Amino acid sequence: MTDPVVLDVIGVRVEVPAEGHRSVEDLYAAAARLAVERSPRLLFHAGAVERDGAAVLFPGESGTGKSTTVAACVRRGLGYLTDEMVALDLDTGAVRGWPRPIMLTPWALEAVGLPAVAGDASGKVAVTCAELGGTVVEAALPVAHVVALRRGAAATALTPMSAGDALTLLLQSSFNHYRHGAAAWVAVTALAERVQGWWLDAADVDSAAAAVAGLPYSRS
Amino acid sequence: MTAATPFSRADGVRELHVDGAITLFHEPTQTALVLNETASDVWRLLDGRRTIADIVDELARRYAADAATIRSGVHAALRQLAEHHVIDGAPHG
Repeated sequence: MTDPVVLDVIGVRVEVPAEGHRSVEDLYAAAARLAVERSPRLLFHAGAVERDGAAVLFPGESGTGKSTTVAACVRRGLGYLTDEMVALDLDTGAVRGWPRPIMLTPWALEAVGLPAVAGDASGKVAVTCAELGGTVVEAALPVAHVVALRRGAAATALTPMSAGDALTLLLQSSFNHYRHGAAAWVAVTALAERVQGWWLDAADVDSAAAAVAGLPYSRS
Repeated sequence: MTAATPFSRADGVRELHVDGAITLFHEPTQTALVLNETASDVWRLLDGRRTIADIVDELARRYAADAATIRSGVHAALRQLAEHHVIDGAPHG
Protein backbone atom coordinates (compact mmCIF):
# COMPACT_ATOMS: atom_id res chain seq x y z
CA MET A 1 0.00 0.00 0.00
CA THR A 2 1.46 3.34 -1.07
CA ASP A 3 1.49 6.19 1.40
CA PRO A 4 -1.10 8.87 0.68
CA VAL A 5 -0.10 12.09 -1.00
CA VAL A 6 -0.12 14.93 1.53
CA LEU A 7 -0.90 18.36 0.13
CA ASP A 8 -1.33 21.84 1.58
CA VAL A 9 -4.35 23.39 -0.11
CA ILE A 10 -4.22 27.03 0.96
CA GLY A 11 -3.59 26.24 4.59
CA VAL A 12 -5.61 23.03 4.71
CA ARG A 13 -3.60 19.82 5.02
CA VAL A 14 -5.22 17.03 3.04
CA GLU A 15 -4.25 13.43 2.45
CA VAL A 16 -5.21 11.90 -0.87
CA PRO A 17 -4.73 8.23 -1.79
CA ALA A 18 -1.77 8.03 -4.13
CA GLU A 19 -3.45 5.40 -6.30
CA GLY A 20 -6.74 5.13 -8.12
CA HIS A 21 -6.58 8.45 -9.94
CA ARG A 22 -7.00 8.52 -13.68
CA SER A 23 -4.72 11.53 -14.00
CA VAL A 24 -2.72 14.11 -12.06
CA GLU A 25 -5.63 16.50 -12.45
CA ASP A 26 -7.94 13.95 -10.83
CA LEU A 27 -5.59 13.70 -7.86
CA TYR A 28 -5.64 17.47 -7.42
CA ALA A 29 -9.42 17.51 -7.84
CA ALA A 30 -9.72 15.02 -4.99
CA ALA A 31 -7.52 17.25 -2.84
CA ALA A 32 -9.61 20.29 -3.72
CA ARG A 33 -12.84 18.53 -2.71
CA LEU A 34 -11.39 17.74 0.70
CA ALA A 35 -10.17 21.30 1.16
CA VAL A 36 -13.55 22.74 0.22
CA GLU A 37 -15.14 20.89 3.11
CA ARG A 38 -12.51 21.96 5.65
CA SER A 39 -11.30 25.42 4.73
CA PRO A 40 -12.12 28.27 7.12
CA ARG A 41 -11.85 30.60 4.15
CA LEU A 42 -14.16 31.22 1.23
CA LEU A 43 -12.87 29.32 -1.79
CA PHE A 44 -13.43 30.31 -5.40
CA HIS A 45 -12.97 28.40 -8.63
CA ALA A 46 -10.58 30.90 -10.17
CA GLY A 47 -7.17 31.32 -11.64
CA ALA A 48 -5.13 34.20 -10.28
CA VAL A 49 -1.94 36.12 -10.97
CA GLU A 50 -0.14 38.90 -9.15
CA ARG A 51 0.61 42.26 -10.64
CA ASP A 52 2.06 45.19 -8.72
CA GLY A 53 1.29 43.62 -5.37
CA ALA A 54 -2.38 42.89 -6.07
CA ALA A 55 -4.27 39.90 -7.40
CA VAL A 56 -6.06 39.59 -10.71
CA LEU A 57 -8.72 36.87 -10.50
CA PHE A 58 -10.13 34.81 -13.37
CA PRO A 59 -13.24 33.15 -11.93
CA GLY A 60 -14.90 30.54 -14.09
CA GLU A 61 -15.80 26.98 -14.83
CA SER A 62 -13.35 24.44 -16.16
CA GLY A 63 -12.75 24.96 -19.85
CA THR A 64 -13.01 28.74 -19.83
CA GLY A 65 -9.27 29.19 -20.33
CA LYS A 66 -8.14 29.97 -16.79
CA SER A 67 -5.02 27.80 -16.82
CA THR A 68 -3.87 28.85 -20.27
CA THR A 69 -4.38 32.53 -19.52
CA VAL A 70 -2.61 32.24 -16.18
CA ALA A 71 0.31 30.44 -17.81
CA ALA A 72 0.57 33.12 -20.49
CA CYS A 73 0.50 35.83 -17.82
CA VAL A 74 3.27 34.05 -15.90
CA ARG A 75 5.30 33.93 -19.12
CA ARG A 76 4.93 37.71 -19.23
CA GLY A 77 6.38 38.06 -15.75
CA LEU A 78 3.27 38.24 -13.61
CA GLY A 79 3.37 36.31 -10.32
CA TYR A 80 1.68 32.93 -10.06
CA LEU A 81 -1.04 32.39 -7.46
CA THR A 82 -3.06 29.54 -8.93
CA ASP A 83 -4.71 28.12 -12.01
CA GLU A 84 -7.58 26.59 -10.03
CA MET A 85 -8.57 27.98 -6.65
CA VAL A 86 -8.19 31.06 -4.45
CA ALA A 87 -9.15 31.55 -0.82
CA LEU A 88 -10.68 34.78 0.42
CA ASP A 89 -10.08 35.74 4.05
CA LEU A 90 -13.50 36.95 5.21
CA ASP A 91 -11.97 39.39 7.69
CA THR A 92 -9.25 41.03 5.62
CA GLY A 93 -10.60 40.59 2.10
CA ALA A 94 -7.18 39.36 0.96
CA VAL A 95 -6.75 36.28 -1.20
CA ARG A 96 -4.23 33.49 -1.41
CA GLY A 97 -3.83 31.07 -4.27
CA TRP A 98 -3.27 27.33 -4.48
CA PRO A 99 -0.02 27.25 -6.47
CA ARG A 100 -0.30 23.71 -7.75
CA PRO A 101 1.33 22.82 -11.08
CA ILE A 102 -0.55 24.41 -13.96
CA MET A 103 -2.62 21.93 -15.96
CA LEU A 104 -2.14 22.59 -19.66
CA THR A 105 -3.24 20.80 -22.78
CA PRO A 106 -0.66 20.18 -25.53
CA TRP A 107 -2.30 23.03 -27.45
CA ALA A 108 -1.91 25.36 -24.45
CA LEU A 109 1.75 24.35 -24.03
CA GLU A 110 2.46 25.46 -27.58
CA ALA A 111 0.39 28.60 -27.11
CA VAL A 112 2.65 29.69 -24.25
CA GLY A 113 5.83 28.75 -26.08
CA LEU A 114 6.61 25.37 -24.58
CA PRO A 115 7.09 22.16 -26.56
CA ALA A 116 3.83 20.26 -26.98
CA VAL A 117 3.99 16.89 -25.27
CA ALA A 118 1.25 14.35 -24.89
CA GLY A 119 -0.98 14.73 -21.85
CA ASP A 120 -2.01 12.00 -19.43
CA ALA A 121 -5.48 10.46 -19.26
CA SER A 122 -6.99 13.89 -18.67
CA GLY A 123 -5.28 15.15 -21.82
CA LYS A 124 -3.22 17.60 -19.78
CA VAL A 125 0.34 18.08 -18.63
CA ALA A 126 1.28 19.37 -15.17
CA VAL A 127 3.68 22.28 -15.67
CA THR A 128 5.46 23.96 -12.79
CA CYS A 129 5.64 27.70 -12.45
CA ALA A 130 9.45 27.40 -12.71
CA GLU A 131 9.13 25.65 -16.09
CA LEU A 132 7.28 28.73 -17.27
CA GLY A 133 10.05 30.94 -15.92
CA GLY A 134 7.75 32.43 -13.32
CA THR A 135 7.60 33.07 -9.60
CA VAL A 136 5.09 31.65 -7.16
CA VAL A 137 3.37 34.19 -4.93
CA GLU A 138 2.20 32.63 -1.68
CA ALA A 139 1.46 35.84 0.20
CA ALA A 140 -2.06 37.07 0.84
CA LEU A 141 -2.88 39.88 -1.57
CA PRO A 142 -5.62 42.45 -2.03
CA VAL A 143 -7.70 41.92 -5.17
CA ALA A 144 -7.55 44.64 -7.80
CA HIS A 145 -9.32 43.08 -10.78
CA VAL A 146 -11.81 40.34 -11.58
CA VAL A 147 -11.66 39.18 -15.19
CA ALA A 148 -14.25 37.03 -16.97
CA LEU A 149 -12.68 35.18 -19.88
CA ARG A 150 -14.54 34.78 -23.15
CA ARG A 151 -12.71 32.81 -25.80
CA GLY A 152 -13.04 32.86 -29.55
CA ALA A 153 -13.35 36.61 -30.11
CA ALA A 154 -12.34 38.11 -33.44
CA ALA A 155 -10.20 40.65 -31.59
CA THR A 156 -8.96 40.83 -28.02
CA ALA A 157 -10.76 43.49 -26.02
CA LEU A 158 -11.31 44.44 -22.41
CA THR A 159 -14.72 45.83 -21.48
CA PRO A 160 -15.55 47.12 -18.00
CA MET A 161 -17.95 44.94 -16.05
CA SER A 162 -20.55 46.28 -13.65
CA ALA A 163 -20.08 45.59 -9.96
CA GLY A 164 -23.35 43.65 -10.03
CA ASP A 165 -22.03 41.36 -12.76
CA ALA A 166 -18.74 40.96 -10.87
CA LEU A 167 -20.71 39.98 -7.78
CA THR A 168 -22.77 37.46 -9.74
CA LEU A 169 -19.61 35.97 -11.24
CA LEU A 170 -17.93 35.69 -7.84
CA LEU A 171 -20.99 34.17 -6.16
CA GLN A 172 -21.32 31.61 -8.95
CA SER A 173 -17.64 30.73 -8.63
CA SER A 174 -17.63 30.13 -4.90
CA PHE A 175 -17.06 26.52 -3.88
CA ASN A 176 -18.10 26.68 -0.24
CA HIS A 177 -20.21 29.78 0.39
CA TYR A 178 -22.88 27.56 1.93
CA ARG A 179 -20.53 26.89 4.84
CA HIS A 180 -20.13 30.58 5.64
CA GLY A 181 -23.68 31.87 5.17
CA ALA A 182 -24.32 35.58 5.33
CA ALA A 183 -20.70 36.35 6.23
CA ALA A 184 -19.65 35.01 2.82
CA TRP A 185 -22.30 37.06 1.05
CA VAL A 186 -21.24 40.23 2.85
CA ALA A 187 -17.56 39.58 2.12
CA VAL A 188 -18.14 38.83 -1.56
CA THR A 189 -20.34 41.88 -1.95
CA ALA A 190 -17.61 44.03 -0.39
CA LEU A 191 -15.07 42.44 -2.71
CA ALA A 192 -17.21 43.15 -5.78
CA GLU A 193 -17.48 46.76 -4.68
CA ARG A 194 -13.72 47.15 -4.25
CA VAL A 195 -12.50 45.55 -7.45
CA GLN A 196 -12.79 46.49 -11.09
CA GLY A 197 -14.46 43.81 -13.16
CA TRP A 198 -13.70 43.19 -16.81
CA TRP A 199 -14.98 41.08 -19.68
CA LEU A 200 -11.93 39.86 -21.56
CA ASP A 201 -12.83 38.78 -25.07
CA ALA A 202 -9.77 36.90 -26.21
CA ALA A 203 -8.73 36.31 -29.78
CA ASP A 204 -5.54 34.52 -28.74
CA VAL A 205 -3.62 33.65 -25.61
CA ASP A 206 -0.77 36.10 -26.00
CA SER A 207 -2.90 39.16 -26.61
CA ALA A 208 -5.14 38.17 -23.70
CA ALA A 209 -2.13 38.03 -21.38
CA ALA A 210 -0.94 41.37 -22.75
CA ALA A 211 -4.34 42.87 -21.95
CA VAL A 212 -4.12 41.56 -18.37
CA ALA A 213 -0.59 42.90 -17.99
CA GLY A 214 -1.84 46.28 -19.18
CA LEU A 215 -4.76 46.59 -16.77
CA PRO A 216 -4.85 49.90 -14.91
CA TYR A 217 -3.24 49.90 -11.49
CA SER A 218 -6.42 50.44 -9.52
CA ARG A 219 -10.10 51.02 -9.94
CA SER A 220 -10.75 54.52 -11.19
CA MET B 1 -53.02 35.10 -5.87
CA THR B 2 -54.26 37.50 -8.57
CA ALA B 3 -53.06 40.66 -10.25
CA ALA B 4 -54.91 42.51 -7.51
CA THR B 5 -53.06 40.76 -4.67
CA PRO B 6 -50.33 42.84 -3.06
CA PHE B 7 -46.88 41.33 -2.86
CA SER B 8 -44.59 41.83 0.06
CA ARG B 9 -40.99 41.13 0.88
CA ALA B 10 -40.48 37.92 2.81
CA ASP B 11 -39.08 37.87 6.32
CA GLY B 12 -35.43 37.01 6.78
CA VAL B 13 -34.17 38.80 3.69
CA ARG B 14 -31.10 41.01 3.91
CA GLU B 15 -30.30 43.60 1.27
CA LEU B 16 -27.05 45.21 0.16
CA HIS B 17 -26.26 47.57 -2.66
CA VAL B 18 -23.21 47.47 -4.88
CA ASP B 19 -22.80 50.30 -7.37
CA GLY B 20 -26.55 50.59 -7.86
CA ALA B 21 -27.21 46.86 -8.08
CA ILE B 22 -29.24 45.16 -5.38
CA THR B 23 -28.15 41.89 -3.85
CA LEU B 24 -30.34 39.89 -1.48
CA PHE B 25 -29.57 37.16 1.00
CA HIS B 26 -32.34 34.86 2.20
CA GLU B 27 -31.38 33.79 5.69
CA PRO B 28 -33.64 30.72 6.00
CA THR B 29 -32.25 29.09 2.84
CA GLN B 30 -28.81 30.77 3.02
CA THR B 31 -28.98 31.76 -0.64
CA ALA B 32 -27.84 34.95 -2.32
CA LEU B 33 -28.94 36.54 -5.55
CA VAL B 34 -28.14 39.64 -7.54
CA LEU B 35 -31.10 41.42 -9.10
CA ASN B 36 -31.14 42.62 -12.67
CA GLU B 37 -32.46 46.07 -13.48
CA THR B 38 -36.11 45.05 -13.80
CA ALA B 39 -36.07 42.92 -10.67
CA SER B 40 -34.42 45.80 -8.80
CA ASP B 41 -37.21 48.15 -9.90
CA VAL B 42 -39.84 45.65 -8.82
CA TRP B 43 -38.12 44.97 -5.50
CA ARG B 44 -38.04 48.68 -4.66
CA LEU B 45 -41.78 48.91 -5.31
CA LEU B 46 -42.74 45.97 -3.09
CA ASP B 47 -44.24 47.67 -0.09
CA GLY B 48 -46.94 45.20 0.86
CA ARG B 49 -49.63 47.45 -0.62
CA ARG B 50 -48.86 47.61 -4.33
CA THR B 51 -50.38 44.94 -6.58
CA ILE B 52 -48.87 43.63 -9.82
CA ALA B 53 -51.12 46.04 -11.70
CA ASP B 54 -49.85 48.93 -9.57
CA ILE B 55 -46.25 47.95 -10.23
CA VAL B 56 -46.83 47.61 -13.97
CA ASP B 57 -48.56 51.00 -14.08
CA GLU B 58 -45.78 52.66 -12.13
CA LEU B 59 -43.00 51.24 -14.30
CA ALA B 60 -44.88 51.87 -17.55
CA ARG B 61 -45.25 55.49 -16.50
CA ARG B 62 -41.64 55.78 -15.37
CA TYR B 63 -40.19 54.34 -18.56
CA ALA B 64 -42.91 55.54 -20.93
CA ALA B 65 -43.10 51.97 -22.16
CA ASP B 66 -45.77 49.65 -23.47
CA ALA B 67 -47.71 48.10 -20.56
CA ALA B 68 -47.66 44.60 -22.09
CA THR B 69 -43.87 44.63 -22.31
CA ILE B 70 -43.56 45.95 -18.78
CA ARG B 71 -46.06 43.36 -17.51
CA SER B 72 -44.01 40.54 -19.01
CA GLY B 73 -40.85 41.83 -17.35
CA VAL B 74 -42.57 42.33 -14.01
CA HIS B 75 -43.96 38.79 -14.06
CA ALA B 76 -40.53 37.38 -14.89
CA ALA B 77 -38.97 39.40 -12.08
CA LEU B 78 -41.61 38.28 -9.58
CA ARG B 79 -41.08 34.66 -10.60
CA GLN B 80 -37.34 35.04 -10.02
CA LEU B 81 -37.93 36.63 -6.63
CA ALA B 82 -40.46 33.95 -5.67
CA GLU B 83 -38.10 31.15 -6.72
CA HIS B 84 -35.57 32.54 -4.27
CA HIS B 85 -38.22 32.86 -1.55
CA VAL B 86 -37.57 36.55 -1.05
CA ILE B 87 -41.21 37.53 -1.63
CA ASP B 88 -44.40 36.15 -0.21
CA GLY B 89 -46.64 34.63 -2.86
CA ALA B 90 -46.04 33.50 -6.43
CA PRO B 91 -47.25 35.38 -9.50
CA HIS B 92 -49.59 33.82 -12.04
CA GLY B 93 -49.30 34.23 -15.79
